[in-house]
Amino acid sequence: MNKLWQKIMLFIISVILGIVLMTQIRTTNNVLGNETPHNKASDLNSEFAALTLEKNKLREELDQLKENSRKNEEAYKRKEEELDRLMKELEKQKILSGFYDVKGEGTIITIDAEPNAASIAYGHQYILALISYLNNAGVEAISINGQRYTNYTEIVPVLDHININGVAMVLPLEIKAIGFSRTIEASLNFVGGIVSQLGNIGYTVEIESSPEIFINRYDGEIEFKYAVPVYVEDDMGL
Amino acid sequence: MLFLLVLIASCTVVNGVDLKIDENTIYVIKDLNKYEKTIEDMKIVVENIKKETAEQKKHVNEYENNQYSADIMSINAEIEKLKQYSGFTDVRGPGIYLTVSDSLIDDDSIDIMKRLIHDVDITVLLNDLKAAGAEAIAVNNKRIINVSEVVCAGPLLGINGDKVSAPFLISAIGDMEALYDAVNEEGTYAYELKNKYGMEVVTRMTYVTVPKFHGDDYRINFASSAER
Repeated sequence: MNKLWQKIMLFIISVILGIVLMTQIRTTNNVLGNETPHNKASDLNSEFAALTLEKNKLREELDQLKENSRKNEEAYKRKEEELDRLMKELEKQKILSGFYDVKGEGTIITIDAEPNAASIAYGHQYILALISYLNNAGVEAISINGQRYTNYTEIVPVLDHININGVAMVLPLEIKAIGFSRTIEASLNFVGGIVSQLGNIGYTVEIESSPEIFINRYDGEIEFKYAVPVYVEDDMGL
Repeated sequence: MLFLLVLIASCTVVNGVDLKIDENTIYVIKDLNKYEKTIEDMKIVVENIKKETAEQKKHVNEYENNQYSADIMSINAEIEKLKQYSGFTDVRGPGIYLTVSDSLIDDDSIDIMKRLIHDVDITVLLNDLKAAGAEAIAVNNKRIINVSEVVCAGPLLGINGDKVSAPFLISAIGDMEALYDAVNEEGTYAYELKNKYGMEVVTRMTYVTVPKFHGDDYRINFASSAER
C-alpha cells in the first residue's frame, strides 16, 4: 500500500514538473522565438541600422523635393504674375490696335447739318479736330458711323462726302468715343471749342453720355510694306 | 524519494543552464521588446515619409506639366504683333521728313493768326500722310497713334500729353513718292500752307526711324474688349 502511494505521488509530481518544465520552455520560446537573446539583439540592431539609413535617405529626398517644390511654386507664382501682366498688356494692345470690339463708358456725338450748311467734305477738318479733342480728353476708342478710328484711318473728302477707312459717308455722323464722359463733354463744349466751331459752319452737335457704349472693330487688314520694327537702340537718322 | 529529489534537481539544472532565464535575461528581453516597438514606430515614420515624398513628387510634376511657359510665349508673340499695329514699337523704313514752321514773310495783308501753324494744320497734314499710306508717323519724335491728340497749347502744341514747339518735324514711313506728293502737289494742304500763307514747308525723302508711342505705361481705364 505504502509502495503504491509512493508511486502515485511520484507520478503526480513528475507530471506537475513536466508541465512546469514545458510551460517554462514554451514561455521562453514565445519571448525569444527560436533565437537566443543575443541573436535577436543583433538582428534588431541591423534592422534598426537599415531603417535609420532608409529614413535618413528618405528625409533627404523629401527635403530636396520640398525645396524643389518651393522653388517651383515661386517660379509658378512669378509666371502667374507675368501671365497676369501679359494678359493686361494684351488687353491694352487689343483695344488700341482697333482689331477688336470694345465697350465701356463713353459719349455718342451726333453731327448733323442745318439746311444749306456746307457739305461734310468741306467740314472734314472739323472732324479731324474733333477727334484730336476727343483724344485730348483721354478717350480710348473712337468710331465714326461704325468705322473704327485706327492708327491708319484717314478722313478724305471726296466730292460732297467723306471716306473713312475707305467707306463713303455723309451727314449725319454718329461718333462714338469711350472715355470719361464729363471730360469729353468739357473738352468739346468750351467757348470757342469744336462744338461752337461746328455751329459756326451750320452744323448741329448732340452729345449724349452712356454708361456703356459698344464700338466695332476695324474690319479691314493692315499690311506693313515699308515699316520694319527696330528692337535695338538705333540712331534716329537725323 | 531519492528519485524525486534527483528529478527536481535535474530540472532546476536544465532550467538554469539551458534557458538562462535569469534576472538579466528578463531585462534584456524587456529592452528588446522596447527596441522592437521603436523599430515598428520607425517603420511607420518611414512609411509616412514615403507617402509624403510621393505626394511631393506629384506636386512637382504638376508644376512642371503646367502650360504657363507655352502660354506666356504665345501671348508675348501676339502682343508683339499687336504692338506693331498699335504703334508701340520703334520702326524704320523709307519715308519723308517734313519740316513745317510759322510763316516768315512780313506781309500784313495776311492775318497774323493765319501765318502761324495751328494744331489743326498739323492734324490735317498727318491725315494727308495717312491717306497716302503712311505706316508710322511722328511729330517731333512723338509717335502719332489713334489716341494721340494734337492740340493748341499757347505757342506750343500738345501731343501725347507733352509739349512740342515749332519748327515741327514730321517723320513718316511709307512709299516715299506717295508721301512726298501728298504734301507737295498743287492743291494739297501743305502746298496751300506754303504758297498761300508763306509757311516754311520742307520735304526730304530718306530712311526714317519713327519711335514707339511714348507710353508703355499708358493705361486703359474705360474700355474693355467685348464679345460680339
